[in-house]
Amino acid sequence: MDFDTPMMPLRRRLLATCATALAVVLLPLRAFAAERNTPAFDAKAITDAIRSIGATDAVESDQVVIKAPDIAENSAIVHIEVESKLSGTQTIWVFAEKNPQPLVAQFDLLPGVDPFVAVRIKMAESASVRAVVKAEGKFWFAQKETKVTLGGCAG
Amino acid sequence: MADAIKMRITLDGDIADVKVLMPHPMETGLRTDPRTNELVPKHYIQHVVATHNGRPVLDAQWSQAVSKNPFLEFRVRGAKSGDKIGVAWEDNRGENNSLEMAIK
Repeated sequence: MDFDTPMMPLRRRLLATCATALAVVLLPLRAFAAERNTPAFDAKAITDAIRSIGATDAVESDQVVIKAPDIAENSAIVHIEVESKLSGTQTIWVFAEKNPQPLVAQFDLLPGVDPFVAVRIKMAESASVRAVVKAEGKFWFAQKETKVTLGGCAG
Repeated sequence: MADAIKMRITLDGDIADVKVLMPHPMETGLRTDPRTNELVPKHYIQHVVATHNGRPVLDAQWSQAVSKNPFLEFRVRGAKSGDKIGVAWEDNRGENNSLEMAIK
């Protein structure tokens, strides 16, 4: 089948492309699935979640940059950015300290990606948003206070 | 099947900035359905993998506290025009979706 044939409707070409994409991309999802740290995600206190990822000795560092709003107008959509300037950054975790389950996301960085992620999260109440970074086997963190006007976990 | 993933890629030198929107309800399990007064069961994306030319570059595990219709941004190094960036997700019910797009 020639995708460049002008006679082939765009819709069909798109479908064909999508089918290829599905086959190619779903494979790594299965093959490389890192084991989910269920105890960390289930933990109800940030200290327990941090213990579960092995980061109790994490040190605050200005080499970890977290961006979060001072005041979140919509607590169901709080834009967070984390950038690590530490060489050998392997993993970035994002916590919302006072959420019912504080661990929101874990990002394992593989070769070829910058130590940067942005994501939008829900916050139950005003709290510190914390980024923990593992770099060359050591743990570092940065945090930022974000005020919310209305809880976001129900929405 | 869930609505299509949307992806926007901006190439700056050899760094591809990738912004992704994944339509998904991201139910926390804490929300009450106003019609039935019953809790809506948890339904959220748990696992996301991003690829560069088929090779995984980012492997993310999420909780239900990622916002509805999740937004994700990441930056791929060593990228060039024509390279393919892929994103695939799987939720706590085993539903999944994916998209692969060439860098312009």
